[in-house]
Amino acid sequence: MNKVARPYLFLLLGIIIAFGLSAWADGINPYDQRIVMSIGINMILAASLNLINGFTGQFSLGHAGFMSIGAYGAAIFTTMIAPGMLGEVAGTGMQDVALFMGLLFGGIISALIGVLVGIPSLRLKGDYLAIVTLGFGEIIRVIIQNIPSLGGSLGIANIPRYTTFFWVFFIVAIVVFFIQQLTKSTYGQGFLAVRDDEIAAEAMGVNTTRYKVEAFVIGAFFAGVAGGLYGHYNELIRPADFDFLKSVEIIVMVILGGMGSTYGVLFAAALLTYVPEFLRGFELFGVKFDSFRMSIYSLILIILMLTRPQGLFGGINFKKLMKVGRKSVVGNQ
Amino acid sequence: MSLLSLNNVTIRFGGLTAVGNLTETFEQGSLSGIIGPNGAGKTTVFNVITGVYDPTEGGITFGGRDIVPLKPYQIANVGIARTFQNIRLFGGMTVSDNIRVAFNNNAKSGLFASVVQLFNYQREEENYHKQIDHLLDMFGMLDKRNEMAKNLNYGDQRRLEIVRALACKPKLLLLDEPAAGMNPTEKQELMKLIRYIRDTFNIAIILIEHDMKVVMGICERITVLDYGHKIAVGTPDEVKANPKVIEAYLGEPTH
Amino acid sequence: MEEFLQQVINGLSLGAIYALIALGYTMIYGVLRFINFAHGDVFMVGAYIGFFIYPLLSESLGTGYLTAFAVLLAAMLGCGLLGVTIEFLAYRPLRNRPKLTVLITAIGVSLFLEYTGQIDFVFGADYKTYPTLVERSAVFSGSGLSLGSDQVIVFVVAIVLMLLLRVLVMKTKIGIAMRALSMNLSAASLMGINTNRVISFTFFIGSALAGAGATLYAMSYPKINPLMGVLPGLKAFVAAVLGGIGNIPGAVFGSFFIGTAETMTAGYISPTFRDAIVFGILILILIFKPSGLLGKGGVEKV
Repeated sequence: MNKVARPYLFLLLGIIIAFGLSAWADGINPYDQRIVMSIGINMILAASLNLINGFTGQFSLGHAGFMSIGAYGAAIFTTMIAPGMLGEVAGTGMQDVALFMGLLFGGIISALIGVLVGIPSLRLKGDYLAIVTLGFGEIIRVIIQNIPSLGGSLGIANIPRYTTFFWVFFIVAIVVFFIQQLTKSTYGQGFLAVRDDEIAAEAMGVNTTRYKVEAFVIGAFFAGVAGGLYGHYNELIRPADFDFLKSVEIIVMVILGGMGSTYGVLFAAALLTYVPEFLRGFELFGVKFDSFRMSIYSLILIILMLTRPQGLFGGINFKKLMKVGRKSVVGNQ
Repeated sequence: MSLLSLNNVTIRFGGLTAVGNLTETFEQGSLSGIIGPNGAGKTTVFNVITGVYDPTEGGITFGGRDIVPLKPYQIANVGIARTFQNIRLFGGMTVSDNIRVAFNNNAKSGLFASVVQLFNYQREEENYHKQIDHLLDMFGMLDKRNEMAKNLNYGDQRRLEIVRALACKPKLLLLDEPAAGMNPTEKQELMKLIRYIRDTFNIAIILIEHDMKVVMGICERITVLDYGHKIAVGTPDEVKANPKVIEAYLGEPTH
Repeated sequence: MEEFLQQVINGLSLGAIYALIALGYTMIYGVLRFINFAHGDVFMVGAYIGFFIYPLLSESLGTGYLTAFAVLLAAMLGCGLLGVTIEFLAYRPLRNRPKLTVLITAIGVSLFLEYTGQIDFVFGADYKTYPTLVERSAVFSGSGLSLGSDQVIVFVVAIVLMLLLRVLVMKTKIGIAMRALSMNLSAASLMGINTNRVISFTFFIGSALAGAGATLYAMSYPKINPLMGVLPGLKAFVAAVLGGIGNIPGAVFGSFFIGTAETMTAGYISPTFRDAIVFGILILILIFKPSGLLGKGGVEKV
């Protein structure tokens, strides 16, 4: 297949899947619907963080902060700005336009804050960067909490439910396309070079600061879009939804999926969203699993780091595996 | 005009003077060496030329241009490429992608064109791959194109570092101990390679090397450093006969 | 003026508690070069040890200073052992692995302690009231100022422990070994120092200090729950970074600074910003002087 066409076919396939899921949405119960929706939103979050952590090697622990900016930005847009621009849109085809513009608005604000946060913090490395991004995430939360017009710690309620399966998975497809294309391009090799050896990258003419900030800003943008989708599904956003634990949750998806492996990260996002829900109903020795599932979740994280720090799928070369598979089949004949 | 000139360059780390008052010029297309005992400040000179450290005092010009205020990546873009004493490849990337990094800075396709990948992008990309393959072919590494850099053997890693630096299209190439860890046959090949690079690419090369056979064998001009100061400069024969150099390497003669 | 002085006293007593936690961060960073994210949760466990052991101890020892002292020792011992166990099970297998692997593991341990603590038959997610170890009374009060007995105890215990730590680090053989490790781990091991033993010991001491901090903290703020360690842990960490992580006097200095800054913000600006100010300080310090106020900068070797 043509090298140029293939990614576009994949993108098209993604959009068709998004349509398919959308058609299927009405037939399933609200609980399952919520799980599928969360899977999609977490996929966007994890894939976008993967650009920062996995591909560019910058450890950020503040992704939930960017998600919250996008969520608030989009909610403000659809509830306050859009009615003035578009009139009453709920229930009409225009609600999708309002949502799209809201997501863009939230994403762009998030990206701008990303520049603001990124430029000073990205001078730091490793665990210092992790801590400073954590600090920024927390500061964003505390600031939102202290703005009365944003609802303080009660948050914003009555956000219209515009988010549909189509929108969520359409954006999943866009994010995947964007990151895959970018990291395969010559320009994109700069991100990977920064991850592998900053000093060598500089010595080869790579403006490492620019790449780091770019990764950070793109990641922040998509995290903001994911936040907007979340708000317009949940109908309610509170600062507490976007705390440090949410950032950790996203980072665990990236690590489990294998840093730098987009499809692995998508799978991990689905797995880590579904399994805790699945386990909720279980009972063990008369004790509801629900009460200690998070404890087990963290234990699994520790065991994973001890045994497979590269993630479940990291370091596996799928192309090579398939080739070897094919060869051995030929050999047997 | 000299290609590179260091004028009274001094670098201090706290109280320690790593390089003191160094003045030296390097000509277009020349093949020079910097030698000196351990801790003489050789690598520090490379680091200050490439902008990793800023000189405490003094100036550096490259092609007549003051490069002291430039950041390392800008210095690379004006035409100075280097290798490292302790190899610094992009381990998680393929051999071919290691070289591809060199093209990112003059890639006409920016962020969004690189995502869309249509129109001129494909032509540009093909052009890069042709150049990469050509370089790899020259250095006999074409068959290793798709291997991960970290999986290469030591000699190939050293070679890839040089290829990668050449892909930056430098006017000046700095080689930091290229012969380290090589056996005599490999060293012979390396010497041939360095001469070949200078002649084919028509660039200036400065190398830091401990192996005297290598340095004396290929360098036209050698600068000797001791405790950060230049103690001698000249052709290999001149340097070999210089009593100061002998003293620096063998210690003061005892009477 | 009185109010200002009062805020200083409150800030310093809060800072003394942070100092006990910050010392653990800084010592562990000193030997292993990594941030023990679970440290704040070890602190939390220290408070629960006191909560559970007090009824048992007060039965035989009665109520009073002796019991309070016994509770303190129990919390220190318990936390010390917990710290050693965590290091042995979770961090030791990761020696020489990338820093971030260890960092994530530490976050995992932190979450594990928090979530496990919230399980009903462990500590429970609800708030518990820490026993009154020492009746609170005003040691000094007048002209708008007051100094509570709990604050005096905080100062005395914290200062005694810090002095003991100083003697331990500077004068004893194991202290010298700890310092050697913090300069160069592999060289120390080549010199015949049993590095694993020294690291275990460092975790023991650091975690025990957190246990002491927890006892003092719970005496002053008796509402305890499994997430209580998160914020004091983060703030103590900020204090350690502020003083230059790895630097023991720096951690103490940073803690007093953070404690005072926090009470001042709460008193003069708004209590809702008391947490944000700490992160604000952290970010400023990391951006402008990442090595901390008293730390030494390092240069990466090229």
